[in-house]
Amino acid sequence: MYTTIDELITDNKNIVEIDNSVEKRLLQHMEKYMADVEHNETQAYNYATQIILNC
Amino acid sequence: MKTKYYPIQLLQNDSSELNELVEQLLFGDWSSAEIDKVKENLKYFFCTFRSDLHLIVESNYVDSVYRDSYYNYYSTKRKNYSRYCLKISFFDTDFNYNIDFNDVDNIQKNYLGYLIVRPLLKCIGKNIIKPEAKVNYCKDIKICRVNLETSCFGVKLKAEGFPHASQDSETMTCAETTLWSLLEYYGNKYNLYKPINHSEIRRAIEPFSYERMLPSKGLTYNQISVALREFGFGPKIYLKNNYSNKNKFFELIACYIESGIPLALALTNSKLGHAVVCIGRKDVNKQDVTNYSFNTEINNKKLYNWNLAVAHGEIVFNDDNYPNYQLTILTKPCSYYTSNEWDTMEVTQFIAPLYNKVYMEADSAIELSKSIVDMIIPGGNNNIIKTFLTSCRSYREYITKSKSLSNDEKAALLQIEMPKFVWITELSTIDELNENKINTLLILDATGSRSSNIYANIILLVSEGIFYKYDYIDKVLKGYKTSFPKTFDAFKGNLK
Repeated sequence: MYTTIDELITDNKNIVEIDNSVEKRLLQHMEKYMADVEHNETQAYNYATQIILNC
Repeated sequence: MKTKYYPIQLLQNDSSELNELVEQLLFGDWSSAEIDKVKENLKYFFCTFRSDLHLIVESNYVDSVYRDSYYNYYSTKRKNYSRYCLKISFFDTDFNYNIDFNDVDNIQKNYLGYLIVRPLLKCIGKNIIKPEAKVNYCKDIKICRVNLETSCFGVKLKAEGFPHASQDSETMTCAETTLWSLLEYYGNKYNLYKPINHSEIRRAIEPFSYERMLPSKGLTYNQISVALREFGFGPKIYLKNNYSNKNKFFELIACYIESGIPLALALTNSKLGHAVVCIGRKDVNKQDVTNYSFNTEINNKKLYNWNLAVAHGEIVFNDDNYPNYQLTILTKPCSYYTSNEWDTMEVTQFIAPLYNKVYMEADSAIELSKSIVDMIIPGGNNNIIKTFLTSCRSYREYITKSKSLSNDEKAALLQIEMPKFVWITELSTIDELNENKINTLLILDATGSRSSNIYANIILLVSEGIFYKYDYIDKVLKGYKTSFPKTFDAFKGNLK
C-alpha cells in the first residue's frame, strides 16, 4: 500500500481548530455574493442576443 | 504539385519572388487591383516573421477548410475560383534547403509551422505557427498551444501554436472564424472534441437563425454559445456591464487565461461588433504583482492578486483582421488597429468554452478561495494569491515532477480523489514567488456547489505544512502538523 495523506500527519493532536461559526459566515458570504451574480447573469443572456459580431 | 524554396526575406518586399508566388495562386479573372491587394496581404503577413526563416511552398494544395467553403459557396458563383491553395511551410534559420531525405532531422527539428494561402482576396487561410517564428514582440509570450499533424516533403511533422485564419467576409466573418479556431484548438488537443468545418458550424446554428446564413452577416454572441454547446462544451457567458467593478471582469478573463482556456471575446463600440480569440499573455514582471492588491471583504487580510496583474499586462489575441499573436491590453483591446473608428472598442463580453462538467465557474471559485484563505488559514497576509482551473491529469503530472516533495508526499497527493477539473489556489510571499515556490495549496472541486456545503468543495488545503481536514465526528475543521514542507514548487502553469 502507498502512503496516504493521513499517514503524513506527524502529530495527531490538532494544532488548529476552526470554529463552526466560520463555516456559517463562509456560507452566508457565498450565498449573498452568488445571489448578486445570478441576478446579473439573467441580464447577460438578454444582452447577448442583440449584438451582431461581423467586423 | 510543384514545390519551391524561398528565403522569407525575399517575400517581405515587393519582389519578383512575391509576384511569382501570387501567380501560382491566382489564375483566371483577377484584376490587377485584386492581385496587388493579395500581394499586400501576403507581404504584411510575412513581415511579422523573423527575416532569417526559410519557406517551402507547395502549389495545388488541397486544404480541407478552404475546400469546405469552395464547395458550399465559391463553386456556386459565376466568377471562377480555383479549388487549390498554396501551402507554405516555415523553417528555422539552421534549415538546409538542399534536402537530404536521409537527414529527416533537418526538416523536423527546424519546423515552425505552416500557412495556407487561399485563392481569395483575403488570402490568409488556416495557419498554425510557433510564436518563436515571429518578430521580437512574440519572444516573451505564453499562449495555449496545440500540435496539429501535417507533413512537408512526405515527412510527418507537428505544427505547434494556436490555429488562426483571416476571415474571407463571405463564408466566414470574425464570429465564425473565432468559433472555428476555438474548435480547431480543442478538437486537436482533446479526444472529447473534434475539429469542425464552417459548413458544420452553419448547420449547428441554422435552427437559431432567422435569415439565410450565406453570404455570412456575422453571428450574435448567443449563436456562438449555442454552437459551442452543440459541439460538447459547457460555455459560460460573462458581461462587463454586470460588474460594477470593471477590474473584476478583467480578473475573470485573466483567471481563464491562466487556466489555459482560450476565450471568445466580444469587442464593441457604438458602430462595430467584433470577435477575437484571447489565447495568452506576455510574461508578468513578478515585482509588479504587488501593485495589484485587494483587501478581502470579510476581514482585513491583504492579498496581492496575480490574476489582476495579468489582466493589467499585455494580452495575446488572435484577430482575423490581422496576423496571429497580436499583443494588446484589455482596456484598449484594438490598440493594434490603425483606423480611428476602432479606438473606442471595448471588451464587453466573453465566452469561456468550459468542459461541460465544470459546474463551479471562475467567479465563484475565486470568491470562495479568497474567503477560505481569509477565514481559515492563520497566515497568508501580504501574500500573492493565484487561482486557476486545471485538469486533474496536468496537476497530477506536476505532482510527480515536483522536486520539493518526497516520494511519500507525492504518493499521498496522487491518491486524492479528484474530478476531471479542479480549481487551484496558490499563496506565496514575493520572495517565494521569485523562486517559483508556494506556501499554501488549496484544491477546490470544479464539480462542486457554489453556495452550499462549503467544506465539501475543499479537496485539499495545506498551508505552511498544516493539513486541514474536516472531522465528521466533532463536526469541525481541524489543522494537523504534517511532514509536508513549508514551501514547495508552484504549478508550472497551463500556458507555454
